[in-house]
Amino acid sequence: MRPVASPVTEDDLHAYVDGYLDADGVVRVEAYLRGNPEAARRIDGWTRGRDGLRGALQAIAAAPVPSSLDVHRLSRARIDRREWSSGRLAASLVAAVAIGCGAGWMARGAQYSKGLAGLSRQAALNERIFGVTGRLSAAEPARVEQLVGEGSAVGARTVRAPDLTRDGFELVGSRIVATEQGAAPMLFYRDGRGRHIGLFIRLMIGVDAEAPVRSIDFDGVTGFAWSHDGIGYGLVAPDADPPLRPLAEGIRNLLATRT
Amino acid sequence: MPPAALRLLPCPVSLTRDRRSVPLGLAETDLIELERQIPSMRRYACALLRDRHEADDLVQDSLVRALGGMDARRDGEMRPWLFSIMHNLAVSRWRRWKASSPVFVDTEWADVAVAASQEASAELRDAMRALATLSDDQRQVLLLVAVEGFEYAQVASMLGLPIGTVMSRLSRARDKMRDFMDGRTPPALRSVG
Repeated sequence: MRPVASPVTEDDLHAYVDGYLDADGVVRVEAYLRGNPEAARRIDGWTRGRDGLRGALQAIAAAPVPSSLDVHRLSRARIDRREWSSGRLAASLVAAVAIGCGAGWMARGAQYSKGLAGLSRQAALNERIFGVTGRLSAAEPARVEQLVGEGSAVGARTVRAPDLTRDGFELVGSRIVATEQGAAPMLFYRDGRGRHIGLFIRLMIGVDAEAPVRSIDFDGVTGFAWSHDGIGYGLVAPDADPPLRPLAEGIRNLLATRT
Repeated sequence: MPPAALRLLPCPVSLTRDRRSVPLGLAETDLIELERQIPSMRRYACALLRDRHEADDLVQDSLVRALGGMDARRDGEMRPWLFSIMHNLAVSRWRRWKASSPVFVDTEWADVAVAASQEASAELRDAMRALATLSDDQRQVLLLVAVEGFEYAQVASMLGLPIGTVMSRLSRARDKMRDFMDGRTPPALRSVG
């Protein structure tokens, strides 16, 4: 800290409040404040503001950190991406030499559909095709126990449809759709205001078995995708309503604590 | 539809390698240090953006950016470096935000933040409401100094401002906070101090 000059400056007052003054500086400022009641009231106000902010924001810093901010996971995802880029390049080159450019792009496409990006696309597509109100009523009656990945090489797993009644959404129907990772349920929920959301669930095989939340924005459908413990989820809605982010976080925590 | 500011994270896709291998080039100590900063990054982002989900998005973006730049990082403290990254991302976020949605202030947020706090009091709630009356520029400087404990010179270099500008924004922010709190706080509460 720079030496305190006389007379006391505004910078000194800040330094006093923020605790950057040495003992001499503190003595000097306090003497000044004793002789200047208005300045003293001002400093008191600054201090109360600081203490109020620190107190109010403390709860946020003390709150548990969500798994979407797990640095180890984010770091792994970053490395995976780097490996994938070089792997994809090599695969494309080999395929291009052997068969021609088209095959390289097909190889890329296959890789693409396996991961979370592919899941996002599938979720959005199913929402767009089956999420329209008229077709919703044609969906199967809602079952809470859903089989995910039937017919896949790794076998099916059971997932319970998350209960969203606390958020105002009732499970109204489901459809089973085919994916490269086996049969996958698309669940539909509706709230009292007639808004609906879709939850697409499928196995993640070999790629993105555990991946943080990323947003989906595909062909007019938006939402969020993530995966946990080898199962991927895509929460989607056709328009701005309802806000999906808190719902996605809620479902993610619900499903993560259950497994 | 989520606000436009919700960033699309780059898609993590892998070949079938061992996912548990030690990250290339990143020391475990760096990750631990990074992890240690997350609570205060969340606090700052939340106070700045006034929306928890947006805030966590910003922190996630910042962490991804930090992980990518860790190798190239010059020596020095990690914390100011992280907050600089977060500041730069927040600025571009605001630009998009303001262009896309004129109304984004969540009026409930202050109450929610305070309700979660154990020692919730009128004073704390007042402080959060007062914070909401500041401009983005003032809020940034005040939070970095008064809550996050950065020195004035660090704040100046983080925000790319002359130190004189930092000090004058700090004065305006503190006076505005004080005016608001004194206008709202009943004398009986204030005198408890």
